[in-house]
Amino acid sequence: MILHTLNKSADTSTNLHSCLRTTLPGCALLLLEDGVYAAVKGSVSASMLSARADIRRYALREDVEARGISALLADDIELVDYAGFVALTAECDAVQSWY
Amino acid sequence: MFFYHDGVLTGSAYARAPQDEESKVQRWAALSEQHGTDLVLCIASAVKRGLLDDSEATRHASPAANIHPAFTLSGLGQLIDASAVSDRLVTFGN
Amino acid sequence: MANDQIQTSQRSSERKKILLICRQAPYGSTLARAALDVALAGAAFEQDLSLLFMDDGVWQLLPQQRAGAIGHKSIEATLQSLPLYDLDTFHVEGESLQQRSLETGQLSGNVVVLTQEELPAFIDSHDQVIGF
Repeated sequence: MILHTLNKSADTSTNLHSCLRTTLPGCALLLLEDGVYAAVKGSVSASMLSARADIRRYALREDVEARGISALLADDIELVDYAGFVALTAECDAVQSWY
Repeated sequence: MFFYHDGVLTGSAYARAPQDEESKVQRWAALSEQHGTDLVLCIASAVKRGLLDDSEATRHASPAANIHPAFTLSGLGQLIDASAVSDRLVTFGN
Repeated sequence: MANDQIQTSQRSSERKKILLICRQAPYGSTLARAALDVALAGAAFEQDLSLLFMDDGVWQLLPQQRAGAIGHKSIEATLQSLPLYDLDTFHVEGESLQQRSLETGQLSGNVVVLTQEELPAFIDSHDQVIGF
């Protein structure tokens, strides 16, 4: 099971599209850095993520709070902090970073 | 920790953060000291970007070394070797 | 290394299946070259390496690159040398080719196209993944 990490805004990069083409059901996707903007409710990228209920979707709390978007997130994205990020890394078999 | 491509700039001894920002290189040095973590700069990426240790500075007849002492230079073989003995490989990039 | 670190290394050292995912076009950034440098290093250390080209990375596989015209080392030439190091298969995402109106016959090297169904399982079959 792979942990995918995504660190760019979906407006500046096609990484989210590419990432989702490689995901298997049950894998995990962590949005971090500018990638957290993909979790903003009502955005095209949030819709793409919602359509993939088969993958576990997370956003890094510290990056969400830094950008002042805590109140804007889609409901189906779970927040994790850095300790949670480390736990996900240990839980998954490999980490694939999209940047 | 293996730094390559533009990541090697992290190891500059002379980069100075603005007064109201924290120094990244100092944080890395502190992490290394606290946890014994090796901080390795890819030698090819570093030399290409003008980052030299004493040995490379001598070899290239440069006036001084400019890598922070918490970092060492090594080849990509060290990335591969570390990958081979590690349970997880995590990459951060731009 | 401290003793405990050495013991950990001995416990988990093994030949890993490492996948390098190349997503950048050649020459516009140095990441394409970086991937090949890691591939060569991995081959020298006898790791089980695979190469996957997707997104703009598929552009690296076009033949007749005249990199000298812009003062660069040829990516094509390095790719052609990889079979010498037992890196003789270039996996390519079919969707990336389609998006760029490319066909397999236009690419050089031993290209294996992965369909949308095959791609996730192929990636998942590796121990480690490094993206470029």
